[in-house]
Amino acid sequence: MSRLAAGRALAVLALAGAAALAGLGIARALGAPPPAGVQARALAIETGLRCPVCQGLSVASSPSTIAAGMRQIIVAQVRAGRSPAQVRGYFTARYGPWILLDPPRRGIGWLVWLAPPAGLASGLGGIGWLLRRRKRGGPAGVIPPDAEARAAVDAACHSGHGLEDDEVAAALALLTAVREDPASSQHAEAYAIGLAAAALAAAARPPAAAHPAPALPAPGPGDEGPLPAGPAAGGRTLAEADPPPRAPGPAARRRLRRLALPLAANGFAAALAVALIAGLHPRAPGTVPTGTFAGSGAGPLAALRADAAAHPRDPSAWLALGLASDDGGNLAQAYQDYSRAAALDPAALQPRLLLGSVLIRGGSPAEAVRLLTPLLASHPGEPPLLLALGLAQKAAGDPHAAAMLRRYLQLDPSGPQAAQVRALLASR
Amino acid sequence: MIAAAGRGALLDGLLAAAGAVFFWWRAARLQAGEAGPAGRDYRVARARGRFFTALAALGALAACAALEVALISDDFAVSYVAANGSRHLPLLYKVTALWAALQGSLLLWLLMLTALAVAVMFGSERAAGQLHPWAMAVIAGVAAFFSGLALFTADPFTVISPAPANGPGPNPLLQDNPLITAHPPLLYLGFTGMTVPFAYAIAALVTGRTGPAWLAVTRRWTLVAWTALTVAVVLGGFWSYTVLGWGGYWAWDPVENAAILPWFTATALLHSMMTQTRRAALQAWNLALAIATFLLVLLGTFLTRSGVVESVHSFTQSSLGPVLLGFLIAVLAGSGTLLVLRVGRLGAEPGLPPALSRETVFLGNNLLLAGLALTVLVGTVYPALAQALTGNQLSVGAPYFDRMTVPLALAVILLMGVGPLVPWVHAQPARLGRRLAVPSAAGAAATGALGVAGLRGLAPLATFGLAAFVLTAIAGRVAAGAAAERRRGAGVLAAPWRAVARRRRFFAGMLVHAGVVLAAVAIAASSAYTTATQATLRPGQAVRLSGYTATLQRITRQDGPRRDTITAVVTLRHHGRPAGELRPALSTYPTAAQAIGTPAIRPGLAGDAYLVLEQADPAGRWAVIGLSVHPLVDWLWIGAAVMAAGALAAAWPDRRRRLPAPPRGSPAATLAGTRP
Amino acid sequence: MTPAIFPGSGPAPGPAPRRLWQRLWRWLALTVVAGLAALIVVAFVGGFGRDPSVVTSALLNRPAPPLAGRTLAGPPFSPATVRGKVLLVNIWASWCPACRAEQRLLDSVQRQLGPAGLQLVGIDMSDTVAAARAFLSQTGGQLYPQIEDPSAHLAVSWGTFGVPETYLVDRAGIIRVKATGALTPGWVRQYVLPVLDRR
Repeated sequence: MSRLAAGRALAVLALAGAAALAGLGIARALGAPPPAGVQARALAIETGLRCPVCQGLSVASSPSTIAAGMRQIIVAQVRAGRSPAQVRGYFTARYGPWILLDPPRRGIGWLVWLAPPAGLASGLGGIGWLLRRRKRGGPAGVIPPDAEARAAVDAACHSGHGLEDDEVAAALALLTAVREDPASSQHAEAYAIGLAAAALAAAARPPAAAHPAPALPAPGPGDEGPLPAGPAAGGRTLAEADPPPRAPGPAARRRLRRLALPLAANGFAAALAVALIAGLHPRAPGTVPTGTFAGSGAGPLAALRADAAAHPRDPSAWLALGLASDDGGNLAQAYQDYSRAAALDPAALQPRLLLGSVLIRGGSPAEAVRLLTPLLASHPGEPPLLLALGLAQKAAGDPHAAAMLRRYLQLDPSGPQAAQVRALLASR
Repeated sequence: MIAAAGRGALLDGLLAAAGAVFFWWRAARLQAGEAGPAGRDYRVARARGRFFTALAALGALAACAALEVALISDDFAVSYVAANGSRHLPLLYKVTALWAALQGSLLLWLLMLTALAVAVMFGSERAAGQLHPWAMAVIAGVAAFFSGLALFTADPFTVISPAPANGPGPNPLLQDNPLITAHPPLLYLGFTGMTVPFAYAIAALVTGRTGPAWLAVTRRWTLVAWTALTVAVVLGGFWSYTVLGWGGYWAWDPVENAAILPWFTATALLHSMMTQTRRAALQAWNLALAIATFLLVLLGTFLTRSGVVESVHSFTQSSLGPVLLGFLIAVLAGSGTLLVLRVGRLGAEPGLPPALSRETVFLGNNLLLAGLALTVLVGTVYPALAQALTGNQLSVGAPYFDRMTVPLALAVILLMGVGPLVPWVHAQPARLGRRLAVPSAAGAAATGALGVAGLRGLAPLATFGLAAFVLTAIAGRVAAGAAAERRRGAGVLAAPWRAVARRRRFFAGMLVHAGVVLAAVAIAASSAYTTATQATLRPGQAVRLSGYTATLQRITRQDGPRRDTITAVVTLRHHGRPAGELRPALSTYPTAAQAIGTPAIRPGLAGDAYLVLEQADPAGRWAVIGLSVHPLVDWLWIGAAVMAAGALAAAWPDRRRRLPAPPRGSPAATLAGTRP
Repeated sequence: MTPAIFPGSGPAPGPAPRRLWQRLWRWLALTVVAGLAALIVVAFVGGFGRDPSVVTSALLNRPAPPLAGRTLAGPPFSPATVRGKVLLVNIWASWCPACRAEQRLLDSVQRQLGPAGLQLVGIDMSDTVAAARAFLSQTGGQLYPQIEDPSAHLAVSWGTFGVPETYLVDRAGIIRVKATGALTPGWVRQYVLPVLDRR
């Protein structure tokens, strides 16, 4: 095997070895992570939540006391076995989607996730168009500059005079700048190299070629003097050419025509802005999808339970306990508490409404309908009752549901749930 | 009296700037007339323009001086001093109180802008030719706008009567650290410096000349502004890291984003201008980049001063906001319209060959930097837009920005390594492959070794591998240049220096790339591998992390008229060896609601130990100490210094020097003697 | 004829032909510029005059989180005090200057509207007992129960962004209105009185 081939084989082997090493390293780095402890899982959630007090910091990095409290709550919930989505839902229920540092991928959120890739894609398309545009050849007799430059580069490199090929190419292209801007002296040196390289290229061409010698501007007196300006061979560059002559006509009409386009464009922009601003109306608050509305821990629940045990005949104690159990996601317990509150206070509507809602969520809408329908007689025209009954009927598949929900909308068209009910009615 | 002098100086500056606009515009129109630049009318207009520009600069200087005198002499009759000055401030912080609040910082901006106008007036006239009067008119117009803004909407010289006895002093964070002397002035220098490329771009659009004159002038001023902006942004990160106490240096705060947006477009402009130097292509794109940079500077000013976004930097709301927004829209509409209408007149551009060459690599670089700017812009503006359109309040924070910008940044670093190896005009794949072989092997080997050694995370690993790739590629270029110099007869030790001196601009750019790579490595290591812990300590107890042991010695307390400070004295040991005594502190100011912590840092090239006093018992019995270790973070500051050095080396004007005669007997000498 | 070697050294072209697509391109580009301007205006014009740090509470018209914990006076908080009443839950801290400013108003509200069924409850967030007791004795707030919350857990469960904040809870336990910042008499008149009168 020749020395060259052996060297090449060794080089390929070395490259392959490095690539293999890189692959191994990456596989190791991406491999299964060690099982994350409570602190690590809590940290992952904390970096995605925003500190309410600081400007833009995450809960993980914030030094404020509220953030410290949030960190303790997160650790307690993670230890209790909640998933990250549930923990985030706890905070979103209290602070709104503002608390999440990642914009939601819902609704207008798609804009912020799609805009950068779309911008990059259109930029790539633009570059592709730019590179493909150059198909037209020049007028006859003009050698395309690239071919000439390429030839000079190849010749200079292979002629063995030891010039750096990109230096040569750069110098060749710099000659253009030299011709346009004779006052700049830094190009004088490049001029010397370029001159030599171009002459080398000319000398290296086979004598039978039809190219006459390239016409170069005469070197100026001394090495740093300015070169003779401008139009030696081939005219000024297009960059310096005068703008093409305009069509003749009265000056005023020409000015008006020129202004028409920008005026129209800015008028359109103004109309668009006005339409957008006028069309904006505040959305109903509270129409935010939330996670499980979890309670804040065992402490308050125990206190409420103790209170209810101390006052067993007081319906509001059981109601409060039921609300806390409901918040904690314990529907069965909430059902019992609400039932006791309802039993203790036959005239009150609220415990029964809450009971109905627990039944709907617990999967027994028919029982909820049975519970709530008799109340229509004793509490006519109460929007919450109509809403609860309508939702129960809808869940149970009762055909009267739509009528009930519409009656609710009639009575309370701007209530907090009105938008959802409208959406529900529209979706059938 | 001071107030009247200051307001008079502002008014004088406004009128002078307006006069400058008029006379420069007149000069610009006259230079294209029959008499041309030699005519008397032109010379008179030009002289008057120069006079009024200098007068505007003097007016800004006088206004700043008046406010400084009022601050230093505790003249609380002036409203700005009453709101931001204090008798108890040390002299340094009285001087820097000039830019600690909105009205004064606007005066600093005005001073920088008008001083820049004078510098451009003296420095660039010869090089810029026909572009010069138009550009000066634009700069004077921007100066006139800001003068009017300072005079009518944010006047610091209102008189308060009766004058209060003392003022509250500036924001406590701004009287804590000498960095306040450097960060805002450099930042404003960077921002106002971007007015110059914009002005020359408008001039080029109006006159139709985007040739080498425009390129030379724009390149020089963009480089100066870019250097100032780079140093200012990294200084801001340094301040955040050493003063604010959360252990980080970049929070993707809206105002921080607004400072880095023009940096992206200015970097793209610097690179694509090199393409235009070689081939007269992409003229319209370069003009658009110059205009976009200035528009982003205006957007940044608007976000900071209008109070519409919540930021650690934002000043309180004032009527400044709508005026700045109107100006931004007017400049956007005007320059956008001008660009679209005039771009056809710039002449047909010779296109680019559809082959791999340094030009196409620069196009890729521009695409990535523009993509980075677009990502950060969308993320910053999105909460305001979403609230306006849907009424919901949303946040866009670090997770989004990190996820979207890191891949683009890694691609930029890859191109940073490949680009200098690809020749202009045309690259032969085989030669390119040979040049890329050693750097690629180095990068792959680095990635592999670090991964096998146990580092986790694809992004930091990729960063380290790409850093090795780029640094090896740069070293390869130096070696190739040195080899060529050896062939020309230089000695072994002198050859690399000769090679670098021969292609000074290229290697200055390589130095900047090396600085960027160092900064990228620092950012990757400190974001991915920082560890932290916290403990409640009594004197004598210690907390341990990553080989560091921090022992609490005692807690001291110091009360003063400016603030009350509790300091924890902690001794640090690293792997058993003593590593010094650190004093993290917690200060309460009478005007701030919560205590402000001052961290204590032990720097080191391999990593920093960072101590924070989170809570302390006022009686001195216990303290909650936070200890964190940040690997390689000091390389970020070092990298920024390297970037600045490289940029200054690139911007250094050429010495006029005699060329050495070619060696006797060489073909170059023979041919140089031949006259065609 | 001398061949042109270098880029750009050919003869200058004539005026660019005004083809339809070129004119269309101009209109399109101008529309993009105009659209960008409109977008910026729309995004920011609504922000003037509005405090960007105030976020609408997500708890409005939802059941109030439970109140529990130890009071500053010593015994644990008893829910019996708030049963069946309209609540004003005020979150404060002794290191907060604005809380000092609103304390007198809160005391007078409790005195005047307490008989009508209003109950004020204070939550003392991220504070020490000593500093809180000093605040109470100097400024006021001893007319109604004060729950201590040194770790801010209770405040976080109420969705607190900072101090002072006040929540108005009606008799059914639904949060009606939230006030950010110190309370004013106008706010009390506008929001509290209607809820008190409605049965």
